[in-house]
Amino acid sequence: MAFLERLVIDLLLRFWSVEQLNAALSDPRTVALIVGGLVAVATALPGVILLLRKSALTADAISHSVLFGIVVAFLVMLALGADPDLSSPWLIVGAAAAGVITVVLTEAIQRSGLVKADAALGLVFPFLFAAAVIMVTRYIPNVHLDADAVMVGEIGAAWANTNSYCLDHCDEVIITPEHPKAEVGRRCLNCTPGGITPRDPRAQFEALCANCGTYSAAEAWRLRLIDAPPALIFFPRAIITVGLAALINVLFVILLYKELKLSTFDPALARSFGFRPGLISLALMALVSLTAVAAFDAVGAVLVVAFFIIPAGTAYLLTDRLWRMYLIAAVVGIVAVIGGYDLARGYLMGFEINRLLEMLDKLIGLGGYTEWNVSISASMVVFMFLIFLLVWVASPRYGLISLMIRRRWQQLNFGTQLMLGHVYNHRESPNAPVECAPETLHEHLNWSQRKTSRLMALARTQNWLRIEDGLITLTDQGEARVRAFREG
Amino acid sequence: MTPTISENLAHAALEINDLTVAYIQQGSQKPALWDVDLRVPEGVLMGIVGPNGAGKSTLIKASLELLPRAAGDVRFFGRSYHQARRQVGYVPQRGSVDWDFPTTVLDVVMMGLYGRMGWVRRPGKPDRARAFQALEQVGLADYADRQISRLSGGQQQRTFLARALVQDAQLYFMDEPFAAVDAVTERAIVELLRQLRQQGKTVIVVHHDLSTVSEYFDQVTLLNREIVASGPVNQVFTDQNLQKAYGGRLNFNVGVGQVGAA
Repeated sequence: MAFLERLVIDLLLRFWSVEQLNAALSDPRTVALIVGGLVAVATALPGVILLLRKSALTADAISHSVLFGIVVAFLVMLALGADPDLSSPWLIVGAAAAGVITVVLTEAIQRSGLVKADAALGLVFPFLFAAAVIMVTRYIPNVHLDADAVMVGEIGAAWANTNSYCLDHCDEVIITPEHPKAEVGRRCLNCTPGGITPRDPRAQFEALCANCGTYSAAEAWRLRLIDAPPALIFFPRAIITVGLAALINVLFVILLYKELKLSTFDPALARSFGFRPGLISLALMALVSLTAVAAFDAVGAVLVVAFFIIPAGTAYLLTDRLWRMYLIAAVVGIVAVIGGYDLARGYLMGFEINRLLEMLDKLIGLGGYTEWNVSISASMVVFMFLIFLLVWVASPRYGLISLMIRRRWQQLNFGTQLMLGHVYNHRESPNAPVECAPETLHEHLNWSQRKTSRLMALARTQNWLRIEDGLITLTDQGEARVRAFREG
Repeated sequence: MTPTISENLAHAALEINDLTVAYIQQGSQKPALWDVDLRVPEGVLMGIVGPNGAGKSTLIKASLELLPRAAGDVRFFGRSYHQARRQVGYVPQRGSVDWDFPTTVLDVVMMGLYGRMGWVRRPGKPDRARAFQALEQVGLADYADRQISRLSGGQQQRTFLARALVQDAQLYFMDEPFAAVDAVTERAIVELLRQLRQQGKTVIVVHHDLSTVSEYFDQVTLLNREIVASGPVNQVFTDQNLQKAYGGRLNFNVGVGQVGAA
């Protein structure tokens, strides 16, 4: 991890100076947006596959059961005498294993044929979660795992949890009496009051150094023992954890693009090609677990589910190409992270919520509550849902509005077809004057007069029928339409 | 296992020996297929017919190792499925996939080429051209870029056929390709079957319409959990055998070519 952080820092320093970088990385908003954006990318990609496999709830299950893996790995390391640290990669391995165990156990229970799939999932993950909670409280009392952090994470504090790296003037400073900054003095060893004075040539001296010793670079700078400050970078830890998860997932969906597509769309064919859909499935679950752990600090075990599913669900309504779905899901996630952060701080797309609160306070009295300041990750999820809502209603092809318009259009189209068909059947029969008269047509079709005249008007504007001598007659186009409709 | 005559002869396209497949119902195993022996020579169109629940799809899926076998052995051109996988194409029932999946018609056809590409490699221009050609063969060239849910049932079936074509297999299994398709598709499938036979391929089709069996196929297998009869249509597709396969569930008046389902 440290190696990777150093690599990223070196890369960033090609574009920015140390001061600029430190300024950016100590800004809570910037760090929260970087971490949140990376969480969004890392979760949206596997989320798309989960959604297409109709196993969205697996994300929920896994995000809970990873806690079990973390705790077991923690206890194993403790038993082996290692000093487990919460950011150890072994805990992530444990978590990934727990995710896979969840899926394997669920499938085993389901394969017995006695319990359905959804119930099997619902049996396994709460058990693992509960077992983890018991183990935490019984064996690891010192670990601070509060309910808030588990549920919503602490993305707002991501900037404060850093590793520091020193780039320049980092060496320890050793002050010896010869050092130019040494504060040297001397003490007379044999001076006595009224006897030998320090000016006396017989006086013997001992060299004294007030500040000799070893100093860390930071201390040395504070005491001005060196001329330039050490160049320190304070790098938020979450960026690397979440960034690594995002990178792995991006590589996964790019490299195995066609394998994922085929084993999701048609697992039987994937198997017959030797692509091991079962193995791909387990790899996916391991990645979902890993991602859930990486995102745990930032957004918690509960809200991470929304990050997996909502952007994918939104993208599903906007496109019918898989690669675009990946892309849109990631973008939706990132937009929601930005919008959600500002929403938590009281701004909804440039509008100040605080002003509304002030107004309401004056109007109905909120007891002086005029400061809107709420959970950041929760706001991101709310914003995400707002995007989904907008798309669900207004998506050009799969939205509610376009669905309603299409249904309405189909109804009208079918109605005019029926009307044209009726006229077509009766156009040459002896009772055509009754069957095909514009005034009585609605009786024969058993429709309301309003519907009949509206559809008749529609058919006339399309030049499918006209009214001649008080009779409805089909135009050539109208007749062609009836025939085409009947032939299907 | 019974010794088979074929050991001395050329290998059959498909040879099933003593295949039993069980399914689990309320905790106990029940046979879906019972000691099936079947031999399909190379280059024939074979129809598999039988009543609902006779195990027609099960026979295909167990052969392709999509379902576990309780007993028995299946050979493709004398080799195991694992060895012969590249030579075997499978057109599943249309309902077996999610047609709302975000992908296009051409994409689905290209999936038939994935096996040859192996891991990680992407389809390239020649693959697209090959897929497009297969779409032309089934009359769907105009629909190449369309999302697959916006196809009619018959067009979806033809998409699956085009996908099987690009696989360029020697032996094809088709599970109810004629189920609920329009007349255009039915003609297209029949035409395709004949082309495949001309190229010397073997096609095994699960079929449900008894009235077209003698028109479409060279050989037929009558199945009802066990093999009732199997062989050339004019020898095997008789009233007597149909009666055996379907029991009292059919009305017949005549044999070959004029059978109608009640």
